[in-house]
Amino acid sequence: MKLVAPLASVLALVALVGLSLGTTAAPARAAAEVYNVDPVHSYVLFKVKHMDIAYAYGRFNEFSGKISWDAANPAASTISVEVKTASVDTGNKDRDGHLTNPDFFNAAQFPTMTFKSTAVKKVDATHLEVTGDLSLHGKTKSVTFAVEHAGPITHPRAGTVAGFHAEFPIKRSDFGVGKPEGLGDEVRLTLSLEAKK
Amino acid sequence: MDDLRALLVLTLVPALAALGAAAAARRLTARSQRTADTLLALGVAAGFVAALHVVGTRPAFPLESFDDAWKWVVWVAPAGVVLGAALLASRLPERSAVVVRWVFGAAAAWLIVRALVPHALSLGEALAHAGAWGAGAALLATAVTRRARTGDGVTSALPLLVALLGTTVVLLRGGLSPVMAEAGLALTSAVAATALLAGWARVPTVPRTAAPAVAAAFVGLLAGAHAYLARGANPRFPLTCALLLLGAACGVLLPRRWGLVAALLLAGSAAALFGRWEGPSVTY
Repeated sequence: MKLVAPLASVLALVALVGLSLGTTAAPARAAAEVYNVDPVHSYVLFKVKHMDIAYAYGRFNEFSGKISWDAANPAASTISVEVKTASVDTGNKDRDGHLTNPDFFNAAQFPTMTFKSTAVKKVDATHLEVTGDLSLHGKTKSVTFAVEHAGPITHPRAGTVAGFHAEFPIKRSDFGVGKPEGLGDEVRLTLSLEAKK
Repeated sequence: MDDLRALLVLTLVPALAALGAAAAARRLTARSQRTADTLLALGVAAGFVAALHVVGTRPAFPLESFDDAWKWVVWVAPAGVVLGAALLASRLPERSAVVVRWVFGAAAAWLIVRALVPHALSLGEALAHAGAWGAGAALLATAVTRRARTGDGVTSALPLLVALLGTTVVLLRGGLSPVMAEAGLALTSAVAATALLAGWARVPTVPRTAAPAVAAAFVGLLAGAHAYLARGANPRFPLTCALLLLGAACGVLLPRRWGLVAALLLAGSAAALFGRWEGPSVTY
């Protein structure tokens, strides 16, 4: 019986501390919201000069991504995207087969291309400057590019949706993707992402 | 480098290396047949590695994490010459030598397929692949060694040359990998030039010392093709690879006068098996 009173006090204290932690932590959790890239309404595209005369275009059909978006403090946001290299699609089955071989992506050995942001800087109300690590064909390089963002908006059927669009160049030679002949070294990547909360 | 220049490099560089090795071997044959044999084998490996270096296939040693794993064949060839020289010097019993060749071939294939573990192949599958390719390498290397012991001529190397050239064509057409096909052509040129010059150097057509190198590099290319190329492109791809390897081993063992017949049969059956498939368009 003597133990009941102190035990009740301790339990009450624990409950109080828990409550206060919960209430103070709640705004921090709400600040950054996690959005998943919607593959149906998102695109990972590229273009590269062919024979130095015209552009060849292509896309990757399979990818996923996660954006932790902090509207109040964009610098605390993070972006990560993973693309399956074997899903490359240039509108020609034979060419796509060649692109997945060791002459280019070597999709069997290096099945994914990934991007993980390391810094996000707010430029203005709708623009960010994102720096991150792009890993492709076993090599990782830091890239920085501008991102145009929109939303989030709340749609009656789609829910809460945000948009992110970026275009930036990379060099094939930086990642050891294919020999230089016939194709330009510079490849322009386009990430057009619609992400749902 | 354009296609014509690459073709010239891939045929002439191995030929020049073989010529230099044969000239040196010819001087030494009277004094040491074993050294002459090893010199010619070094010519095969040097020509293969140098030709690939010139056309831009220059993997680090050991390969970096971003290197395409099939490029281990570049280092397997010189390592095979070292093993061949050691086997020639050690005079191991034939059974033990076969086991050593199998281990070497399996290790070469393992270096290539292990990069696919665990995302594309389980550990067990990769080990099974390596073991099977190792058996193929041991079979071919043992056949070449036996042929060299019993005396031969250029025609006895024809089945091997057809198999190597066939592999080059398969790599180029079936899997659409000109880069891997370059390695196939460099190996074909190195073996062909050595076979043509071996008589002049008074050394067996395919030197015994070169047997593990040629077999393991050949099998490494096949293992790489099987593991890395878009296999869906041609369903007959693995079957043609197996036919070329087995055909080379059996053809090399046939008596000299049957070499040409075996080569023609192998070329015909590989073409019938693989050639019916309508290859990809080269105009994309």
